[in-house]
Amino acid sequence: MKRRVVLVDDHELFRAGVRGELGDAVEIVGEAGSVAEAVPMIREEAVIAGVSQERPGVKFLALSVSDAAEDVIGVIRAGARGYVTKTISGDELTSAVTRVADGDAVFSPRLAGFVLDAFREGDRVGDDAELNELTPREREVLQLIARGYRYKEIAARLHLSVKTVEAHVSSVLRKLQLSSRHELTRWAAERRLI
Amino acid sequence: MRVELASGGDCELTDDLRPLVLAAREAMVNAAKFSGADEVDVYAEADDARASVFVRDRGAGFDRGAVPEDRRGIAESIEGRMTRAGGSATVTSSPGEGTEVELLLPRSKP
Repeated sequence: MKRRVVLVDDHELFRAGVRGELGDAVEIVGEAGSVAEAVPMIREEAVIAGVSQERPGVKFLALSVSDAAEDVIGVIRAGARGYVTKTISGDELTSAVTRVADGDAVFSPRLAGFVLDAFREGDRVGDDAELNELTPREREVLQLIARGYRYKEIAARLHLSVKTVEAHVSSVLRKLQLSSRHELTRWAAERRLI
Repeated sequence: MRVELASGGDCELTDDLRPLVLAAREAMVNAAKFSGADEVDVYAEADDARASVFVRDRGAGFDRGAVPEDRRGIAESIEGRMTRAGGSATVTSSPGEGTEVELLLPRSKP
């Protein structure tokens, strides 16, 4: 079954471009000029797709021109499961959409770099060490993503399965979303996404 | 050629970092000239103790043992520059698998 996608961007020309890039790989079921306009569309789509009545597992992948740390991290903390920039190729975008739809997280090299910086070692924070620190393995995986390695290449280099690499990235996503580290919370107050 | 740049940690550009910046530039120029790839990935990280830059392409790659004199000089130029500055350069490549240049420079505490 093809992934169903709603395209959201305030530039119609940009939406047309992304539509062209994605081509037949996904089914584009709607377009909106803002997140507010998109939400009812997304909810309706979930009903059409036969998803249960509870808040459907809608997943967001952010595709943006901005590569400023506060925008990237703000969007992730608002619930996006991935962030890629507009320099991404069509194939990689399709692959990112599939990854997020399947429940995995997608990090661009830049986001990986921001996360490594935000979770700098040695900055002791709070009580919840698990949420506020990255494990050595998570750091390794993030650094390789920042260096431009794809999941398959990371798996080969670290002698892990791709599934394990995905699990590490998902764990980092969770920490990024929930950690109370100062570097992350100071932006949260300034962002008001839905 | 497109440069995809990521960074983890930032610091002021002081004189001790010049060799690293110049070596990184050489590595990027090499990638542009010889790899045949459309894109090069550059990742830089820095803290008080050390600064590192990784330059990677998914282009043609090369076999270090088989490189002719004039091109061997280029890798040695990067390695020599880094070693003289007290750091290191590791060039990893194989034909068909792209090239990665890893530049590390320990820093002296102020």
